[in-house]
Amino acid sequence: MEMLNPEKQDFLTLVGDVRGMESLSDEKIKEIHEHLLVRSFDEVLEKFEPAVYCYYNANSQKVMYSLEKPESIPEEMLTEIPLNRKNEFLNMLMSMIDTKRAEGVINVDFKFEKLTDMISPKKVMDDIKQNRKELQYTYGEYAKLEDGDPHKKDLADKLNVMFEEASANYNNIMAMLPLAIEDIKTRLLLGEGTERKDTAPLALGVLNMGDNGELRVLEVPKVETTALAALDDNINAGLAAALKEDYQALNEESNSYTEALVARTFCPLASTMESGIDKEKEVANYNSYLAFYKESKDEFIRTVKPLIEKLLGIWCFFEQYPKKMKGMRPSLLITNQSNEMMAKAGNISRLITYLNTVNAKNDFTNTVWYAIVPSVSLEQYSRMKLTRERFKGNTAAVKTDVSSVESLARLLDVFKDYAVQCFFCYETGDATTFNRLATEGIEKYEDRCASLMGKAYSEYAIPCIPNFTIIPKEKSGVILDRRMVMKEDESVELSGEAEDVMKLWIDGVYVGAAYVAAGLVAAYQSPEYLKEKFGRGVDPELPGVRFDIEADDHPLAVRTVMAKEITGFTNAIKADINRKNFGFVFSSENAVYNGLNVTDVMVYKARNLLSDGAVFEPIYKTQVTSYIERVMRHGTGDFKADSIIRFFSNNPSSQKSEWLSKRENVNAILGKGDDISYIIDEENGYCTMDITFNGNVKNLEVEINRVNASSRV
Amino acid sequence: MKFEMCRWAKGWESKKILLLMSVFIFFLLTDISLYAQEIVQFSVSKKEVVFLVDASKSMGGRGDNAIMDSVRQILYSLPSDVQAGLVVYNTGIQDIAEVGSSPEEMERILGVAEYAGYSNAGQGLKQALSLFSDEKDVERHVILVSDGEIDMRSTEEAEASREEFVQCARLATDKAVKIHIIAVEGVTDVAKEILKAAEISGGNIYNEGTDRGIYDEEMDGKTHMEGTGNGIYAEGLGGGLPEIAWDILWRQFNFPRKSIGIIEGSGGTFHIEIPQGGVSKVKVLLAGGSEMENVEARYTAGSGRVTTGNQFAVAALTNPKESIDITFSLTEPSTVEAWLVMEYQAVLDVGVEYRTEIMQEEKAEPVYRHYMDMEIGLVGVNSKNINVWRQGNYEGHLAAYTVNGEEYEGEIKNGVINHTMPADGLDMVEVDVGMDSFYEIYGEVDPVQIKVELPPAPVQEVDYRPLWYILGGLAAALVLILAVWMGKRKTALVYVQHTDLGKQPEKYEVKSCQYTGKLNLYVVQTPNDRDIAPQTIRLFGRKSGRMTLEWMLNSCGIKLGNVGAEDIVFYPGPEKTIVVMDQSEQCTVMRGMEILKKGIGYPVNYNEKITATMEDGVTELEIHYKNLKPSEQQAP
Repeated sequence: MEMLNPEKQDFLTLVGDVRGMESLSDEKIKEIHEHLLVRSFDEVLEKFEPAVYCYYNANSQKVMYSLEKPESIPEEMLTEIPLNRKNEFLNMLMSMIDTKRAEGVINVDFKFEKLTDMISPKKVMDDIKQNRKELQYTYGEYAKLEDGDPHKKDLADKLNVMFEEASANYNNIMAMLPLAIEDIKTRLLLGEGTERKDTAPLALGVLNMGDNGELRVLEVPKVETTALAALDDNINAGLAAALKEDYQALNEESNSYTEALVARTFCPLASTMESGIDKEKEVANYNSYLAFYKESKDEFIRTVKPLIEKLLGIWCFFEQYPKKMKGMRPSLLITNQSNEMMAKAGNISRLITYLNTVNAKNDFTNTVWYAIVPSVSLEQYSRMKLTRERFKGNTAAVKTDVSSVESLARLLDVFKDYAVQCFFCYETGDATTFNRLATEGIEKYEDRCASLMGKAYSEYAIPCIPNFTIIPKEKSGVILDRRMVMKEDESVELSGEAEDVMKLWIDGVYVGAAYVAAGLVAAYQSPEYLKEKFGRGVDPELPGVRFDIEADDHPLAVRTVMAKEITGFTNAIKADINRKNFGFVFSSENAVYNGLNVTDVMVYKARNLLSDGAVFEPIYKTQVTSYIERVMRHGTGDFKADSIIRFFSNNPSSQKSEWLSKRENVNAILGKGDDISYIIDEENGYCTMDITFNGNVKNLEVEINRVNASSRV
Repeated sequence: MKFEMCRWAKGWESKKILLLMSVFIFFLLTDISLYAQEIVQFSVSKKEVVFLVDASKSMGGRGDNAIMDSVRQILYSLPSDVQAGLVVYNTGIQDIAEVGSSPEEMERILGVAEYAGYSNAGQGLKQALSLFSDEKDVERHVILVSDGEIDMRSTEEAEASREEFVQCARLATDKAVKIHIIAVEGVTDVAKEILKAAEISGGNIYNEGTDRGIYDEEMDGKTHMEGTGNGIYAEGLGGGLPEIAWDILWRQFNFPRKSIGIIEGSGGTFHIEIPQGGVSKVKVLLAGGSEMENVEARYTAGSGRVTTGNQFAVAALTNPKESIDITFSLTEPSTVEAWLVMEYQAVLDVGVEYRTEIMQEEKAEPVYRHYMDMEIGLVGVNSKNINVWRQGNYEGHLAAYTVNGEEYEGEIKNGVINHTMPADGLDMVEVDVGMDSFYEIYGEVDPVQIKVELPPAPVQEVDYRPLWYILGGLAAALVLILAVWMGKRKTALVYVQHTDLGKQPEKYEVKSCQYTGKLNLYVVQTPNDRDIAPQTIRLFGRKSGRMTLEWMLNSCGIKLGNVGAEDIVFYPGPEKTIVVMDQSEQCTVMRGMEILKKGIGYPVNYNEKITATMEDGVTELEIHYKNLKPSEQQAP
């Protein structure tokens, strides 16, 4: 239930006009799934190509970013920046989750700075250095070979790919900025290292023995020499020429500065380095580049963060199911449409028609089991407008894409008819983190959920708390670099002043708990997944619908792949959660399982909003009920009365007997202490089943299919 | 007096043991009802009294303080509405105390009086008369205490004084001042001039030492002065000085009081309960038959003072609470009588209810007569309106009262006097109650004025009966028409499209079917792109009958305007279907993909949907027909 790229097809458009239609055609379903159904994160990136649009505002001399393609701006003035695994920001965040998971440390101990550095110009340069090494090597190989050599063509192909990648950097000025910044730094501060504190200009020399045997360093005369070049100059010259040419071909308004910059960056020819540098100009350039870079990065991050959070959420969803594992891999249908739009009265019938097609048939290949509604608005009352912002406060993180509770309620009302369990979480931010939950408790969430309780659809509403923190707000600063200053003796150095440190704030990155919850619940439906976690006692055919993640050591065995965030909740908070048994609550607790320390976030509670007045129902009950109903409908030919009797008979081949025979398994449909009985109400034409879960009875009513004309009223 | 004391003593000897016992009288005011039927008449007017005490040498020869004691007895016993003054004279005026002076002040003057010189009674009486105020409606008394002699240095002076005395006595008579004379040690022959004063002014002569009881009166009410022998007659009685003092108090001043009781013996205790509410001052007067001593009073009050004399004791309290206990002992066994004088601050409280009586003669305009039902009561000031009469247990007591000047006598019932009178033509009613029949002093109780406010005349009731008959008839007709119409409506036939498309629509009766399931309503499109939340209409349990789309929209609070929704109608259909019929001119209604023919009903099964495009061509609705599970059917 999220918008990833408005340029791509969305659910409502694809479903189209449903006037008079009960269901959609198979072709339509296929088309929808072609566009919107994804099985992995890479497929998401491929199908939706999430991107941010960048353009320049000449008036304000600023770079502008937008998630939606601005319609009034001509195509050639827009730059599309794809958000894929190559995107440094997204990449950084995914690395951060991976690293944190690997290290298994909590937020307060984790060195976020190490990873946030990944988006500084230095890191960009480091990546390029690696790339250019390969480029130089390949080009060297290519140059060596004679024309017509078949291998040369292979290399040419490879070079084309590498140039394409490199060009991604130099075909726009923005990408060039970090290069230029690092380039100037390299040239002006040559030799500056941590061990060197004096600022005298460096004069390269050679170690020599003096006439009297004294050891001395002689300055090497500055001659135009190629001796310092590590590689063959000819090759480099050729590569540089090729790069320049490529740059000119791609950029109509090319300039010599950038041209030289590209060549220098990708082909650092020390030999051709000009000794005469206009230092003053370069320092000014450096500072303005840095300032511009910071500003544009700021703007970029601010724009792209909501989308990035969604992408990370989807990534986390898929991460819950191990990559290499076969079996029932969860798939995700992304509506690419905002919830508010989906919930509009005019559109909701499209959702109904779709669900009528995939969930109300005896073909369960496309059945939708779960829904994720992230970013439900947490604020009950609108915030008062300050007359004047005296200090730069939190700009209330202009969240435009939060869903209202009303729209959630409308969706839930539809979901309940099709037994879709809906995981929802509140808007991400500082207010919904583990830390906050640990200090404030669950009351806030309970209050907000109050309007969803006691309704027919409450059973299908699963509030997931708390949201996950990828980068905490207070640790989201990234030091880009420091300003450069020129001293009186014309020596250049990086300013040590605090105000000259260019720092940008990411302002916290979070992932909605609903993604993780849905990912985990979807994952443990797979018997393979459960088998890996539990080893023995897992039936290879049955899904994990009855798997109660709260029971026994289940939460210790089936954990999220998210690293622990905090040291844990206090006993008072846990007592509060246990007393109310509210929501799908994650916990970041210290625990030991099979002799190993648990470093992941675990599930503490898995409840929906259906309450018996005292406690809320576990989600598995609803799921088992839906499962039994679906299996029964399938197995009894749409609830034929005689088939129902057979379904429940004591015959060893009956479905009930089969389930009972597997009750020792972790993924048994009817576990220990469970039972199922039925009463057929001939008068009303209903079959009422009493499904007993550990002594608690849940009813399931299905309408009997009476085929005989005589049985009709 | 000596003789009497002896007689007492003889009786005492024989009943020694019995009388040695202290007697304890427990007096409760609730027992006052004993007096209820007794007709008493007290004097409640304001009074002024001046004691004119002869301090000539002849008066000082007695050697006891009996004269002073009897003056004190009267002074301290008087209630607060009697103002007293004092003139002490001998050859001239020795000392005076203005009318209104405190008893203590007068006691002080008497204490320092010197018994010497001659007796200038003429100047004394003149001085005494000059002390009175000019206030009207005040009863005035002079009490002359003398041995009866007017004696001066020379005969001329004595004659002049006698002359002045007689003139003053006449003047007193003109001013309605009564002169009472306490003639100590009897009346000598030469004292006849003095006695004349009492005779002239209509006062009494009290002759000390005569052996007559003070209450012994002859049939003609006139007593011949014993021992005078000179033919001068005066109304008067004799006895000892204490008896004379009590007689003056009771007969001359006659202020309201209650007799508490009599103790016989050598001592005892009077226990007196004080009613709560409005009592401002209380005096307990004790009159002993012999010398009293060790008089003790226990009480709770704002202030209090016990004054004792030879044969009397007075306990005076302000703002008393609950009860008083007075203990005393007597030097010789005798009787002690006690009285209670209570002063209230109270106002009249008159409650009025108006009553209207309708007098109607046949074929004549009704006549309304108004009456005032009054309840006249007396409530204490600053005592949360406590009814004094109810507290004092005056049930059945007869009291005189006036209403607009007319005199009545009423019985107190439940603390009030009920008085009913016609109210027509009256603007104001003044009610006053005479307080002289009550045992308490109420001071000046002002009459109450009541403004007469008659209730508005009732609106004449119109006889609507004929109208009701007509309306009832109409309603019955309407019910009949409705019943017929409903009956017809229920039996209305609807042409329903046959499921087999080739066949003609078949007629069928709506009446036999019931609504089931529910309808989910989605307003897909509106002219102004308004987003309307999906709605559900529960059909199960509804009465079978026609139902329009407009009614459904209205019941969900959806206002779409005039779009033809009233022409899309629903009926319950057979086999749990719902029949939809498009009777509009311009709406387009579809069952699934099939456009409905106008005027023909189409059965819709569970999980089918109806799409309706309304008359404006823009508004579009989707109606999904859904089943209800048995558990949902039970829900309200």
